[in-house]
Amino acid sequence: MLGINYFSVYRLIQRGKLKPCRALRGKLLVPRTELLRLLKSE
Amino acid sequence: MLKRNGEICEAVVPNFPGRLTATEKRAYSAGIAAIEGQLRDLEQAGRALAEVERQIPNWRAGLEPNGDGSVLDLSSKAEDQWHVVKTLVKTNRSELLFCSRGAGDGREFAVFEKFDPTSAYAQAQGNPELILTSNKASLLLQDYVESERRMLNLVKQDLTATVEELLSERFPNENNTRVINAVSARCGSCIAGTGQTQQAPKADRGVKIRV
Repeated sequence: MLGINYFSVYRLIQRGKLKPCRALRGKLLVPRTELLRLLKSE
Repeated sequence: MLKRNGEICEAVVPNFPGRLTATEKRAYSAGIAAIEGQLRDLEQAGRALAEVERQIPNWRAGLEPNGDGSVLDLSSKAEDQWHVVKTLVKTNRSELLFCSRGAGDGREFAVFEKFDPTSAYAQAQGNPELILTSNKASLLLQDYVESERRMLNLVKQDLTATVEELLSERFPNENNTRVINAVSARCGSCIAGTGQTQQAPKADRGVKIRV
């Protein structure tokens, strides 16, 4: 959806630009709304 | 001979000092198979980062922009032009670039991430994106290595959680703690840039008591 590399997504999470949710076992899930927010923001 | 739940612990897996039972080994193989592609990427990224870390002392000696004259234009102003010194990492959809601008005492250094210009992210957020900046190249590179190491650790945690979730579905009645630890150790070895070095368990597990 973002069209970027797998590791770039983790870099965005690390820098706080993308806010994931943590599932039961600590797995990171990025809500679709969060991706859309990133694509809309300037 | 060590047994767990009636099964002999004899299966050796890479980067894990303990031995797994046949059931645990099956779960381990299923887990590793599920993340095989990501594990390969993690290993490559770990190696690339270890290589950057190894080369930092050499780069301190020659921090001149590279010969192809690559320039990152962030605006039309001349002072906003960054010259590419080195490409730190290159993947199919992005590049991490170590850049500099200015001269003498006023020289600045930065790490940029340059995305595929056709990507939705690059079109929405602008391209390239500034990651780190400093007026000391060595500190910047050290910060970069630490930041990438933290990012790879995040990937490792996520992969381990993915395997844990998968095993809880496929092997719901088993205690998968040791399997998860073994998968985590395998991911950890990738981050360290050591690859799949096999750590053989000690042959003699007996306990000796001296009186």
